[in-house]
Amino acid sequence: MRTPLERRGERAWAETAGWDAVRKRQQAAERQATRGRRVRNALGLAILAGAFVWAATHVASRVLAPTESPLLEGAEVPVVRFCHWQLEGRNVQALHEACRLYEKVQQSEFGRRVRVEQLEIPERAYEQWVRTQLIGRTAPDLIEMLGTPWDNLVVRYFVPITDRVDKPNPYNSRALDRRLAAALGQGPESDAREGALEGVPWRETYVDGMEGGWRVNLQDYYGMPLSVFTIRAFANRNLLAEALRWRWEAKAGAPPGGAAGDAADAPDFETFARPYLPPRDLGSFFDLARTIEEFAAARGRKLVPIAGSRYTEKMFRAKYWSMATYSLVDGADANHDGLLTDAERLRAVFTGQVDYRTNAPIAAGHEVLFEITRHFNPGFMAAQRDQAVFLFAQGYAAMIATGTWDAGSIYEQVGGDFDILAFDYPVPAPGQKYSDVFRHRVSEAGETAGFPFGLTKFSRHPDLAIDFMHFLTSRRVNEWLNLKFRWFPANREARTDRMLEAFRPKLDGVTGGIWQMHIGGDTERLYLNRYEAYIGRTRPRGLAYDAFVQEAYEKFIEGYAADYAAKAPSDFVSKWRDGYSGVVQTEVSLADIRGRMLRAGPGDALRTNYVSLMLGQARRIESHAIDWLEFQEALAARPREVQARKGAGP
Amino acid sequence: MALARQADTPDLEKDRDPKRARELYERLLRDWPEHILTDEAVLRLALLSIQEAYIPDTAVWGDMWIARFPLAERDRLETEAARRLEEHLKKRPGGILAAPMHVTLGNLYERRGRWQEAVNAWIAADAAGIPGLGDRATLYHRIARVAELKLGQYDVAARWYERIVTDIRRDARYYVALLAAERCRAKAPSAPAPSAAGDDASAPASAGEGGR
Repeated sequence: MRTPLERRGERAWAETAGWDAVRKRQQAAERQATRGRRVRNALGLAILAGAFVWAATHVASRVLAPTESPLLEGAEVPVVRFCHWQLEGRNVQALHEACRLYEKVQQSEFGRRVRVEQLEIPERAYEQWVRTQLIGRTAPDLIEMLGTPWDNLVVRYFVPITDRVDKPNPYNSRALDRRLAAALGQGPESDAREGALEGVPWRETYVDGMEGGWRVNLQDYYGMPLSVFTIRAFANRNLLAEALRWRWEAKAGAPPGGAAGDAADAPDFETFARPYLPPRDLGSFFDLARTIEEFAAARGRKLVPIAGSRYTEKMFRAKYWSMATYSLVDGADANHDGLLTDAERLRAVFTGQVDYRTNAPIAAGHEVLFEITRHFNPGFMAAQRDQAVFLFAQGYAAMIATGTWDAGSIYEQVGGDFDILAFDYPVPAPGQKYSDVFRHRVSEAGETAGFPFGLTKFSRHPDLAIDFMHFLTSRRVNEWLNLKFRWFPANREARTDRMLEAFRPKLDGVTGGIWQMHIGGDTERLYLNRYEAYIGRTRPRGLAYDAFVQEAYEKFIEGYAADYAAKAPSDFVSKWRDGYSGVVQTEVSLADIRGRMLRAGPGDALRTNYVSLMLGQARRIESHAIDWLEFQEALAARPREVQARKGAGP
Repeated sequence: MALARQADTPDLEKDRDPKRARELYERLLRDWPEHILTDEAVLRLALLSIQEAYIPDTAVWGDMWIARFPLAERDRLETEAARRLEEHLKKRPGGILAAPMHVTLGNLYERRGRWQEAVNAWIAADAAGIPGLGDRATLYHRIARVAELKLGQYDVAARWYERIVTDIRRDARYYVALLAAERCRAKAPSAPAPSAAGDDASAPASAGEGGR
């Protein structure tokens, strides 16, 4: 195609030369181009109009469609809508059944007609979708909430439920509990727990005291959670047993990785396999992984010990990193609260108390993760979470680690193909490698209930929406629902089946999340880049394994220690400047409480709320100030050569 | 109070006017000494002093910052904050915000190495009533830790660690507190059993895992 400049040039030349043929060809080409433009414009308009008609029809069909419930056909009924992104396994179907059951119970018990609609939004589009709905004031009544990053949204668009959590959940009354059992077809047999939560404040019916619904920064309850989640390893029991039997037969009962023994002294297979089903310590876990690899090579099977992906790696890192680095709290915890702030960590590093290049817990944490990822499928960092689950479910991987939120999907995909073994992450037994660093698991005592729904300010039926949440979190329905989800229930009296017992939070263990290698921003990006390169390294030919491990770690940590020294101060300052955001969010609530106290005096609930908010604000203002002091002390303690190179400031 | 809060809202840095906020808080205390908001005014004034002591300037860093703002000035501001809180708590011990004021006072003592006074202030805060489980767990941990590491009062430390174990089992520090209580009990074998606690000011009175 000619450019406009060329066309203009041709025209000018044709005119001066009087060459008509050229001019005619030029005009024909222009007519053709104009026609083409018109057709393209018309096509674009047609597509636009078609999309509009389709969207309008779709919306109209949803609005005008008869209700799914046969009870409500043709009736004018209040509608409660809720949205979530938990599309795994049987969740959507289970919630659909819960909605129908709720409508039925409302009709039979209270003689009222209601409709509940579930909106399933894919995880990737969820946040964007919710924000659009909230800003457009078209949000559903109940929205599954995200954590702290949503505080700004929550304070603007959600309703605090603090005044409701101390009142009992009516669906826990003995009479309603019994009728719910009948509606669920659970039969008339007596249940010792029936009515156990009658009259108990809603908050106290939760395993975590409803902490999962509490927003620390806003000092109010906003969420109504349904389930409890933990992180566990899952194994293909049949495959492990097959590989172990192969090992047992091949080596006459010698432990995995060991030499062939005397068949006469060999233990029977059950005794031999017991320490590995599930692996009782970290040593057994690594032995088992090696056995799987050898078994796969011997049988020529496509099989890896652990289904890996970027997501799976995070699941291992979340636990083993916390186990390894808990001891760093000693000495760095300036305010004695048993936790560490960014400023406390920064000061520990800059004063040389924690030297990244030589610190033993930090080295051990990285090395264990390096060893674990050696047993992942090649190229795991490019694999998605779903691909890892698929590998495991199809029998191409013997183990996988993920949150119990994936349990439903895993069990559904596996079906009856093999038995699943769920177990907690093994730690080294005394005397094993790393046992001096990994002494305890990470406590799950602080894990709060998840899958929380918040009530939006746009709800046309807020009482009905809360009533629906009362229904879902009642002992009877929460138990039934979570058995269907294959999740651990949030209601403290709800029963779980044997399989779910492995998901019960374990209170014993050290505090998680004590040490982070980065502060945020640049340090986080640099750390993750170097860490991913480290765990992704392949061993060069001819280099002994131990030498390879050491060389890989030294290269990684030396590089990152330098990155941290250069970038940590500026990252700290950026984060510190945002440190007051929580204070401003609570200012509106405080003003409201002051006004109500002045009008009606400080009742118990108001007093409690006021004290909570003021404690939160005072803590933030103080720690923000102290963080700055600690930061200055950390900078002043930096080695002289670093200060000289980088200047006095970040 | 509303005007003072506007002048003192910390993230509106360009509009922030601590001097005006201070004047307004002090005016509230002077003109309405019995008002329900006097507790907050006193706490806010103490917090202003703390901010001034630790964040006098954000434009210089490291050695220059330390050199420009010597310890004596920080000392003066901390003393002023502590004095204000002490006097008010003596005058109105049962004020509505006694708990947060005791916590802040304890924090000031802790930073100045006055360990016993810090522990006493935090115990007073607990007696005044800390509503949140997380805040209570943090407070108990700090009392126990300072008693153990700085004062060598293993029996006191053990009792406060045990308070986390019995009252706040859902806190992430539960198991660490359990181990620490055992450690402290081993160091103070003659200490009274937890059930016999309550015979002195440092003995916690269990409130159960009640709520916020």
